[in-house]
Amino acid sequence: MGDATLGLLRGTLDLLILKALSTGDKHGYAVSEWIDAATDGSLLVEEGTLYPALHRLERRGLVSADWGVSDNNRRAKYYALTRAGGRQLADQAATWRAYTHAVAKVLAEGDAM
Amino acid sequence: MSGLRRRLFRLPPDPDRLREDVDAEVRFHLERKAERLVREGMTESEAWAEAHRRFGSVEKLKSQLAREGEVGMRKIAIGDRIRQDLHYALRQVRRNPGFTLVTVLTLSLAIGATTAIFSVVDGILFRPLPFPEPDQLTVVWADMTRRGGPANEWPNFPNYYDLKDRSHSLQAVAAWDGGPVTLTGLGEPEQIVAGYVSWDMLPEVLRVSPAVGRGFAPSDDEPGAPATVLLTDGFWRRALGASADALGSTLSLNGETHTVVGILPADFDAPFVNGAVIWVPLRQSRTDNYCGRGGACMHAVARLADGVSLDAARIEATDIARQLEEEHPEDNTNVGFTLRPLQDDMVAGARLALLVLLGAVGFVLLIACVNVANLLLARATSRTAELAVRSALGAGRRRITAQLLTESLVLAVLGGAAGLGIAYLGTELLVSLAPAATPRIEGVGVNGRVLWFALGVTLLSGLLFGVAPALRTARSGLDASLREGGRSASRGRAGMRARGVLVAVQVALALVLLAGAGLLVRSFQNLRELDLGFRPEGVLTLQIGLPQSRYPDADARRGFVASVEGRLGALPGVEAVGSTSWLPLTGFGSDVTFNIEGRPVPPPGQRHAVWFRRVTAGYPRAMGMRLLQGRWLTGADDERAPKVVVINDGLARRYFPEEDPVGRRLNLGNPDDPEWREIVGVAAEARYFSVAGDSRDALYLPYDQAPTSTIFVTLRSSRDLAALGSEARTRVADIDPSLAVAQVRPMEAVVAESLGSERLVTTLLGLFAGVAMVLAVVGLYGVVSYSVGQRLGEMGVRLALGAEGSDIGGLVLRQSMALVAVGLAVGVGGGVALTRLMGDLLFGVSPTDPWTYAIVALTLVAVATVASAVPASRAARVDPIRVLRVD
Repeated sequence: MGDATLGLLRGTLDLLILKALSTGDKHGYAVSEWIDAATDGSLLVEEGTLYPALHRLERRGLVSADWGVSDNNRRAKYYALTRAGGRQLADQAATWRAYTHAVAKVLAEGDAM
Repeated sequence: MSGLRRRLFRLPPDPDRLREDVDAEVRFHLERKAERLVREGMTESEAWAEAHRRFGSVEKLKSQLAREGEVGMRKIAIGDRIRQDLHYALRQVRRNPGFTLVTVLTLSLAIGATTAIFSVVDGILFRPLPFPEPDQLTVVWADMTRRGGPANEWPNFPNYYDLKDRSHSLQAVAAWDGGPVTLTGLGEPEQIVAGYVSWDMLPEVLRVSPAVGRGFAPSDDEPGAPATVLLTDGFWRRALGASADALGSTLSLNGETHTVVGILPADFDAPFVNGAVIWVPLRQSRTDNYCGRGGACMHAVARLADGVSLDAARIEATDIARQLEEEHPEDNTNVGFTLRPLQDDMVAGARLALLVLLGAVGFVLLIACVNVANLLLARATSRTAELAVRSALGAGRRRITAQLLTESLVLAVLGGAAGLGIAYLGTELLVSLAPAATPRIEGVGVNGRVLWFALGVTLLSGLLFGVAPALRTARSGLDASLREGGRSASRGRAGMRARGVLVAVQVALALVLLAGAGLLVRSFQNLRELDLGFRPEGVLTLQIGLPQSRYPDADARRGFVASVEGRLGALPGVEAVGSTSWLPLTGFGSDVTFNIEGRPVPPPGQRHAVWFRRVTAGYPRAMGMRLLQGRWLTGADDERAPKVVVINDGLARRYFPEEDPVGRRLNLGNPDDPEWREIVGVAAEARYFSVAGDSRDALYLPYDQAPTSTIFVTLRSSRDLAALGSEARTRVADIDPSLAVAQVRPMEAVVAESLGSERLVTTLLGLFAGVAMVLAVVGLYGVVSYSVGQRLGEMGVRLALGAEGSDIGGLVLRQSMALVAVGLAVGVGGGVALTRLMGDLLFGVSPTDPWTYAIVALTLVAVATVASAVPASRAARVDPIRVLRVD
């Protein structure tokens, strides 16, 4: 992965989506924009893969979806974080932090050797 | 909340809709992306290409989304649909508070009553005995069937010991007996019930160990061993204040000092000796015991050996009985052993009544379900428009049926929940009403099994009353749809047919219940009007135990009884006083064989047994017994006078059919006994054990010629018996303050108590039948008046065409009574089949008694006529102009 953009680790996308929606209801496009902006474009998200993830989260009740009218007056499907989604986000974020911390520590030791 | 609402109202999965949504969503994304890229300087076509590139394969994604979406939505849809149906059902329930109240009330009463009865049935019949391996517990009776006697006669010690020694299929056999004892030394003298057991009963047969102290050892159970006693937890708390020093302390029972060796666990629930609060070793042995091989004097309970079936044990017991017949032909000819499971044996007397009650209350539940079904059907018609709209919006028949069933289940669950409360109260009420002699009643309560039963009954009744209306409504709702405006004549008629069938079913069920109740009422009347052979009105009875220690011999007892009768007879208002060894109808008595002078002695096994009581001279007058011939026993028939006896007319008829028994002589027990007793009189038969029991051959012996240690004093007086009772107590205490006077009560109370279970069963069945009749009639009224309402137009037309109002009224009445007639016919058929099953509960009335059926049917017809006459007269008064104009 010498490229400047990183591929996504499994399961990360859900976390990113939940995080994106925690800042406010968004349609799918806005979610992809938000991830792009928040990661300075360093994560490579094939935008299409966003939708299966969104729909899966919807079915699991972690996000809810409603058809609404976008800022430029077009019909768009808006996603919002449900309470269960909020809890899931907190859980996953904590897990992720612990995980990255542990991996980082291992790698740091490896460097010291 | 919006998400929830969306989920609640999501439509069923629709692949086209799903695809459109995905298309729109993807299109929106690509457009926005392209717009942005254009803003950043790309050309339109470059921007579109870039947007697609970044998005990935649009088509692949679309089909993936559609596929996953469909599967996922289907899963959600099922859950959603249930939630949605539930939500909708709850709304219906809230929206029709009147309807909901009536149905839930009806159901809760029916489910509650059914559950309450079940909890009693379960507690008595089904609940396993609270002992390890309860199925191994077996009662041992003497089988006298080959002698023309009962299969469950009391055995005696010699045969019991032989069975105990020889049997291998019984790992333990133990003996018990029980009765009142006088407890002195703890405040007022008191009569308590004691259970007597051989030492091995608790550890070996029941496998119960005391909570505190030790159980009985073989040495405690030897004749003449120092007296020991085990206390029940309840007695230890009540009488000794749960004292820690109870162990090793002493109790004076019938004047003998007993050492407390242990306290039984709080949950010990003895399967015999109702109400026993203390347990004492029997202290009998093979050679030294209170009845010989010919006697019937004790009870035996055994535990089957591990892995041995009851049948195998029976075969072995029959074998042993045969050996004993050969070894002791004098006493054991034609005597066998009967082995019965202990639990069955305990509840045998209550089983039929309980099952009849359970069946009856089940009928009430059925009728209630039919009523609710009828209400639902009636309401369904008014909901046709609503359902038509739903079906127009795409709900299929299955969907609507499911919806309607959900509503029924919601109603059922509400009814069941309320019914549970009623069940708790009802169970408590039943337990408090149950006669004291009801077996196993203490442990009855709402337990886990009962709760499962209630849940099952609730769901079942929900389906029962819900299915027919749901199917009907869904069908008619769809067929009729909007165009008929909810007034389709043909559909209305089909609905009416369904409701008519339901009404007929209700009438049939109610008839069966009424017939059952009517039979029991007649049977109970027969019992009450029965000639008891004595007049219980105005008779006060009291029981006095004379402890061996203070009244060791006949003289002491005779003296006591004479002075008690003297003192009590002198009380103001006492017209007669007398005493007897056993009061009638208390379930106790003694029997003896007898021989008539000058007649050949029958071979062993065929001797005549007769029940006997010892009575004082005043007893017949105090009890109001009738003398048919000769004279009564008098005060002159004392220990010094020649031995005499009064026989009852049953005995006189059987053994002296052609001759005058007065002046003949007989002896008792051993045919060689030189003591001949002259028959001096013949008394009318009096009920012996129970009101309903067979009258028995019996004889009366003068108390003074063989005084017993327990006596019942009877006083005849026109005074208030309660006041007399307390005066009598005081007088007895004046003579001997250490005596316990028990059971001070009017003889009428004794009679009532002996009819207690009959009274309760009759009352309950009567109650159920009454409720059933009301429900059925309400159902009929509802259907008829509803039908009148539906057919007002038709009535109007008929009237306009020249029919008289009375014709219309007659038409309605005829149609309604046709339903009733069908119900009655079916009910009589079913009733005759079912009431036959309760034959053993009936006294003096046939289970198919035509009078009862006629009265019951007429009652139903009368009530049904009234219920139909109201709507019929409404129909007759229809104003054709107004009705036709409305249409």
